[in-house]
Amino acid sequence: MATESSQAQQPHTDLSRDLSLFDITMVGVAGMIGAGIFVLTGHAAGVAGPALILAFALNGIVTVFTGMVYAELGSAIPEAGGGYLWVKEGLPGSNAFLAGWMSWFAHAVAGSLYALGFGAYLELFLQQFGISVFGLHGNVLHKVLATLIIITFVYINYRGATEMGKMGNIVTMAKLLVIGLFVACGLAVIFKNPDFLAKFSPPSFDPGIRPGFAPYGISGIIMAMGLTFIAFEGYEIIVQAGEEVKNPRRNIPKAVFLALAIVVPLYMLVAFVSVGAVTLPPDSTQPTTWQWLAEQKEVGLGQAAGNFMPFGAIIMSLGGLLSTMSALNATTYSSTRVSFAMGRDHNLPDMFGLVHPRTRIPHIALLLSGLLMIVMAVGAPIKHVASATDIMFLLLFLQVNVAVITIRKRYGDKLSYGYLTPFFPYVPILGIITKFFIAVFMFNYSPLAWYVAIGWIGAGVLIYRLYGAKRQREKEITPVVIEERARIDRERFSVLVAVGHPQRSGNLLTVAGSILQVEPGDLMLLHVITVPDQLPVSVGRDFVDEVRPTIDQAARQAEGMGMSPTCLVRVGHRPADAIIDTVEETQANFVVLGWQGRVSDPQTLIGTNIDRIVKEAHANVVVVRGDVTLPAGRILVPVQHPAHGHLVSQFATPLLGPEEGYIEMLHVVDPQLSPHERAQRAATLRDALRRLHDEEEMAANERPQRRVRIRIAAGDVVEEVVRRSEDFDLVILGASRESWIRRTLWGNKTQRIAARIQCPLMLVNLRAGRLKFGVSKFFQFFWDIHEGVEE
Amino acid sequence: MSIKDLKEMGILLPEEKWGQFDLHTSVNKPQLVGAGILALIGSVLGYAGNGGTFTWIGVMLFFVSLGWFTVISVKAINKQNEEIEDFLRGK
Repeated sequence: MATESSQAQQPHTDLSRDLSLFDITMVGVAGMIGAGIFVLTGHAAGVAGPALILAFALNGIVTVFTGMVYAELGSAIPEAGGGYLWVKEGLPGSNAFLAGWMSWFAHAVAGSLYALGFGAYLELFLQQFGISVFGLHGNVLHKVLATLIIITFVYINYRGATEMGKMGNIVTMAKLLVIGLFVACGLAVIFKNPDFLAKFSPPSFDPGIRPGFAPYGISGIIMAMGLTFIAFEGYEIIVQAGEEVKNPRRNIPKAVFLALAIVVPLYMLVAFVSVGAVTLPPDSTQPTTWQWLAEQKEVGLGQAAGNFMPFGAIIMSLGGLLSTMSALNATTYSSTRVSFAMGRDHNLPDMFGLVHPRTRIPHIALLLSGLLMIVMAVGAPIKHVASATDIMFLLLFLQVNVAVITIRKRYGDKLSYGYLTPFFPYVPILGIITKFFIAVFMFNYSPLAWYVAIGWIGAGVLIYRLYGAKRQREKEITPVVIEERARIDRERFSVLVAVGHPQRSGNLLTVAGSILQVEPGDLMLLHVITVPDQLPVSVGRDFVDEVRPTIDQAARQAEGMGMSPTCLVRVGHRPADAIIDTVEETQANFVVLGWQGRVSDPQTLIGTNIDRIVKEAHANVVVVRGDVTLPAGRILVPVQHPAHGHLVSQFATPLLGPEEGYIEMLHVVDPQLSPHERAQRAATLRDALRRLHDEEEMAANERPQRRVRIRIAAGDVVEEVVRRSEDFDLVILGASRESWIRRTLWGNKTQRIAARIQCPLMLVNLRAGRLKFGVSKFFQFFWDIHEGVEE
Repeated sequence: MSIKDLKEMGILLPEEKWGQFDLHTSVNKPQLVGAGILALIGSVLGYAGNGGTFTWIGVMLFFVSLGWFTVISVKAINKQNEEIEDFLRGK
């Protein structure tokens, strides 16, 4: 039986949430404004005519029904998986399997659609410069390019392309900019032409087409709604990222509604200018602008821009390429994630749930998703691919509308909702009816899409009967292993050590031990499992056993030093987030980190992670480089600003050996400074140290003032510090909060010093206000001194 | 999934609070109905206007209704969160 103390040392796995309301709204906007609007506007205009604007508005209304459902469930169950998870939760047996199966298909085939759109836009772009690719054109070229871009994105995702994730907001803003430019130029053209209204009520030259706003009547509008439904499903991605959102109960439902409020009017404006701003070219065979737009098919938007906008075709082609690529990246990611989740749940063969040991990417799920994309892109015309995707999404959302009713009934009184759908259950029922109706109606537009959809669902039912159901039963009798959370007393003084490599832990523990000798308290060891951006952080749970030896070894080392550590393992996309979250939760007073001494990002002081921790963690931060031996004999503390003088009293003095040795405060001044001014500064600092000594009774602690030497040197700061460091066992560089943020005072000098000195180095940022270590009241005193002092 | 799974996810209310929170929506229903009717009128006008003036009046009404709906929803989310936070604090 485990004792309390050993239980307390069980690592606890936790997740980091790092997406703000803005981030997650942009994720939703990015998911919607993308390839759907770029690729399908021309096709949709062909069935709705000028009433495309109305089709977008009505799609907005239909989307709002399910949007409310997503807002409710996303606020209460903010876990990765979204719709699949809720259907699994709310509906029995095969529904869960089918939801995942359909979701996988929908996302993968959406990827096929975007890849084909990419091919079309790349051809349009190259045409602007008279470039031909292998003499190919039209559908054949689109399919070749689609296959190549799918392979490229599968490879990028296989390599773990976190940069795409980081660039997400920028790409979204770029897309918004291009669409905004298109709308602005279109509106300018429209309002210069007083006859523009005629384009929205054109005559008919074909007996099969009605004159006026809706040439194919209401049925044409409904078909356009079905065809463009994919452009409205992006809010699904908001909830799929649910477990990474800050304050999900509040932010997820808000993001759903805000994303819709941005996207729906924008789509309507796009439809408005696409029909209203185009002037029929002299060589056009089409009698109306909507028919001309329909003739352009998937590059309708690009051609429309070329018609009324300077460099329009080039700009919109670039927008189209950007949109289709980012959408393809997102769907590669989401289709992989869904099939991976199904594999992990044993609904699909276990190979889908395998994670590559090095890249931590579910490589089999990724490869099979890519294969599905290529098959659909090559095997079917784009309008049928789009229709199949739409049908699948409509059916998936239909299931979610059913699931919200059962979840509210089964778990409603146990969940904390951030939003509750009004007029329940009539709103989800309306969602079910409207989606079912549109999906069935799509048969009129693309019977092939329905055959494919039925074939896929049939195959899914078969797989479930033969495999999934059996494995599901097996899984349900498998016991669940629960990790116990360590108890942390937030009121006690504590030091958090970020444990990475076992061989470097000892060094960090020595520093932590030294701090705890001065101020007794608790030691926490934290190891962070990092997961690539394109995977949910929950994947990191699979690696707990793998990292256990690291944290166990550090714990043993700490115990060997007489400390009794609490161990934590967190999962996050970035180590900094996990460390900041831990500091916030545990109220740790000190964070001790290791640093290899390299800076990959020149914009940061000592690397992205450490810079963020220093700025955002409300704790004192100590960064250690090299093998520190404590207590140290001779410590050099360069003092560039008087505020750094507190390092001597608060941090450096306790690290000094009991007998021999000393601390040298080194202040480097401009060689132009007069001897008189130097003497004044020396006197001021000496006086300051004397007062420090008196008020804190440092002599009683055997840390007398005489062991602190003050030296003023004239010359270059970096050169002087590097030169003096040769005689010392340890260099401590400090920074006030402002200087770390503004990166001006120490900035590059810290990097240059760190790069050149050979002895062990500590970078220390003592945070005023929560300082329990040392004598915080002297901090203010040193701020009063304006310059350094000479010995 | 089960209650146990949801508990492990850490998303359930504390057990002693189960069944105590009134599941009423914070959405202002009269306003929501107003926004819905406006959207409906806008859509009908959009179609019936046949590309003429009434179509554009309808489109404008739709924009207004969408904006109104968003404001109603965001307010409801804020109110709902305040209520649940008060409930969790035991107020």
